[in-house]
Amino acid sequence: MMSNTYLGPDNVDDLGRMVTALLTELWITRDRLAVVERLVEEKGLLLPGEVNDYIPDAAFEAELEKLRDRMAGNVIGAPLAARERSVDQILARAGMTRPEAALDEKP
Amino acid sequence: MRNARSTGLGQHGRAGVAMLGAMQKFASSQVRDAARRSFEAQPQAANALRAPVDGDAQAIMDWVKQSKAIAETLPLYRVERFMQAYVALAIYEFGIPAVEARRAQFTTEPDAYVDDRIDHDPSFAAPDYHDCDWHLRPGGWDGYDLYGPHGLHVVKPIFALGGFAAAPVGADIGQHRLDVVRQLPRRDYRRIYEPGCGNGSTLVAIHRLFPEAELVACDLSLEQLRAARRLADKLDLPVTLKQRDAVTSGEADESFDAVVTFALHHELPHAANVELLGEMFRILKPGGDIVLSDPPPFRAIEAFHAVLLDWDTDHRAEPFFSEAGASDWGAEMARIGFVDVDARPLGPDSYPWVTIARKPG
Repeated sequence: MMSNTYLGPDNVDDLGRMVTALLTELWITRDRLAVVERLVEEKGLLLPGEVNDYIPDAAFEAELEKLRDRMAGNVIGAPLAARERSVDQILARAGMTRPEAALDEKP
Repeated sequence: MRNARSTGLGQHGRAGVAMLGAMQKFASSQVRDAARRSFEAQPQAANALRAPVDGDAQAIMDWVKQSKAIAETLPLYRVERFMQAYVALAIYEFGIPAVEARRAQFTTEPDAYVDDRIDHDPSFAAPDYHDCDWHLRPGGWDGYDLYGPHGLHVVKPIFALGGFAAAPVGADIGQHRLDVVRQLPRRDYRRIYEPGCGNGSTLVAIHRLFPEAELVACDLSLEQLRAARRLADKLDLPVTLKQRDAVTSGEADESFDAVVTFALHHELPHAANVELLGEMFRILKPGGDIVLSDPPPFRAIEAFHAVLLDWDTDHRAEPFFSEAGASDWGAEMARIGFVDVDARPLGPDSYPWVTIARKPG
């Protein structure tokens, strides 16, 4: 049966290298966002500091919370993905359920 | 399967699927090549890069087991397999919520619309071996009503890049299907049968090369047949789809001119495969042709490649993959009575591997 174990102690450095590479990729995206913000400010579509000082209203905050929970779930829940694998468990980790009608279709 | 007349997934789903494909592509090319070099540099591996000559199935599996033990000591092999396992799981962990988020657009056409045009029986009982989370698919082929769009919008874009199971990076699966069907030696077949047709992709290739032929195909999975029905309707394929166990197809004796299989045999236990080949012999007309395709047999490939294929048995929910790899379908077909049996690779990494034969007549 599937062991869910692939890496050994001598792969710890490999994981470190991959995480470090991820830092570079994350900064590239962050840098690009900063450039876009600056360009949008220069074109007068945003005021300086407007993004930084932005306070979401309740509806947008709820939307952000959903996205944030999903992202946290994707990362923190990654170990669960190899262990708890029914369709409904997968959907629950993404904050979703399927309609009753779809459940009824299951053989 | 639900219809998929849509632009596909949202940005989150689309970008995530694209990254899974990129991970698999890189791991299966650069990391895998480095792991292979590391493997071949091991003295004990270098002495046994090919399968034992004239070895039986047990000798071949012993060779694979020894090669696997060497590979598992290598960090690069483990990283490459870790990435394979990660993507294989994420196809469902990430992909199911991605299609669920678009449920409304995937369910505008009720299944009843296509079910009327699939020959199926609600009391149909699939063989016991079918009860499996095939390819790590939760609930198996029929475990989720959106596996049709999941196949189109998650699995297909990732698999289109190759680098999974037997298909090397850069492999074009659509072209593989055409290449396999093209091995049939005649062009005047009137009726062609495909056991285990899945979502109907191979039927498209058969119709393209034999536009005048009537096609009949079967599968165990109703969800897959729904996907096939929708694809066939969209492309106007002249095909009858049946939910059947192909080993007892229910087709008349000597009623088909040709049979095509694609990536089917590694999904069946050995005994069921032998039964299936006998059944195909029965329904073929005298002089009829069969071409079957599957990943290559272990005897025809190098040790590292065999280790990678064997891995799928325990790690990608392919319970019969190694059993099939140690088999010789050409020899089985000759025992059944087929003649002019020929087996050969068609593409890089010996994939697809085809076996062609004729029923005497």
